[in-house]
Amino acid sequence: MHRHDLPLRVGALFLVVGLLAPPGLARPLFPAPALSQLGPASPEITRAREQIDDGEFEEARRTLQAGLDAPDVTDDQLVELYRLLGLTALYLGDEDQAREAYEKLLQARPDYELPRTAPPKLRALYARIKEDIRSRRVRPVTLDVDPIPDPPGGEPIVVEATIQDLALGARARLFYRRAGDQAYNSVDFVKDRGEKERFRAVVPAFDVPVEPEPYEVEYYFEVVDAAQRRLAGRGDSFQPLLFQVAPQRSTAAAAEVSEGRPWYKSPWLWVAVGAVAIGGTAGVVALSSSEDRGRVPITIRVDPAQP
Amino acid sequence: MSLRLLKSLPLAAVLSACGPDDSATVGRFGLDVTMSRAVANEVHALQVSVLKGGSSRSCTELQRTCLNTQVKREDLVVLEDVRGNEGRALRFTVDLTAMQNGVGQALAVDVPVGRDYALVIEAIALGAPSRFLGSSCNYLKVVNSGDNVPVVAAPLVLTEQSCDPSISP
Repeated sequence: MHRHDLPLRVGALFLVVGLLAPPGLARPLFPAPALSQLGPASPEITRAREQIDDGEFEEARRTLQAGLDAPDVTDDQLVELYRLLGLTALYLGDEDQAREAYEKLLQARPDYELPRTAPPKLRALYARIKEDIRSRRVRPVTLDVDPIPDPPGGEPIVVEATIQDLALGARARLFYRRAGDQAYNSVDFVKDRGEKERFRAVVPAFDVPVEPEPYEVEYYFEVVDAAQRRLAGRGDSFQPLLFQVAPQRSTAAAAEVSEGRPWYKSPWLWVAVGAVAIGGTAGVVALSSSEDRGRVPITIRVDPAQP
Repeated sequence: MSLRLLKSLPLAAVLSACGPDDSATVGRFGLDVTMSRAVANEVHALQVSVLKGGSSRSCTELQRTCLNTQVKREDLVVLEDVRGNEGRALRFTVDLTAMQNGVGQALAVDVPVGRDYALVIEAIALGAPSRFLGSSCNYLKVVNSGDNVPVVAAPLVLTEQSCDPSISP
């Protein structure tokens, strides 16, 4: 036998064995996963997948509902739970529930696509829901939050907001930066355990320290979907809102600092002297401009676009 | 030119830079308010008020009904118009002809220099008592005696309520 013939003969042997094998053994080397077996796992997800594969759809629905009610479910798990719930509801002929589940899934993952192996009925429903969302028939997110009042400094700032119809996977955040800085810091709004639509964000105390002079902090609120598209907000990075952090109680502190210091070295003396000097110059300006009032001209027009 | 005169030139330049800018006396604060045609058809007067602690207020709430039902009188700062009339709310009769011709109507109020205000403009219909048609609420971060940052005002839309928006001076 020639050495070159060996691989050819081995290949032919496998082919013959394959053709003669009974149908039960003719399984693909890497079987395609069942439709239900994609995505992250949790006890409920694993059990629901098994139930769907066994055709126990009512049980699967109950398992998935329990999974959705479980505490500390991650966003990825929620997406998977809704995906399976949509599938299960469709098998049970409950199109309303399937639609509801897929709407939530799509709000969380706007770019989510069903696998090509999904049943045609499921694909048709999914396409209709996507069309509804594109034409904004799904309720938009609403953010209701008041501006932050001037804080004392050195204490955390707690901001409460009401957010309705927050999509799954969407994030609500408070962005803030000290006026003059380039980059914004951010803190997430976290759901209040007591109420469904109440959220809370906390700016840590170390980001708003108390200082001898007051300073301003720019901020804005933003809700974005999983694809980082803005869904709602108040202010933005170019037109932020503003609060001023109050200064230290300067007089008490200054009294402590100035103890044991000769009178002519007291900074307050020189501040006073400086104030007199500046006052002399400013007085000239104040004579010609209003010293304690600013004029606010207002122009009222009829907007032809508004009925 | 004498040496003494030359020496005084830099000082003169500095002092002249300290004076108010002529162009700053007009349109210091660009508050441009639009009103819907529904409001314009009924409005008789506009009432302007400025609230302290603007950042602690919700403009959405304030616009729902008459301001006087939602805030205390002490929360309003004393305003002054160009004729010297003072009050916590100033009323301006609407020039309907100018408005309908698209010219617009200019008002001016003098506000105490300060920070963190909310400026509310209420549209009022003639009657006894007068009727609230709607309002525009705007946050004013700061009012300087010099140049102020422009403010994009909320449009005045019809939110007719059965309340009398009158505020005593």
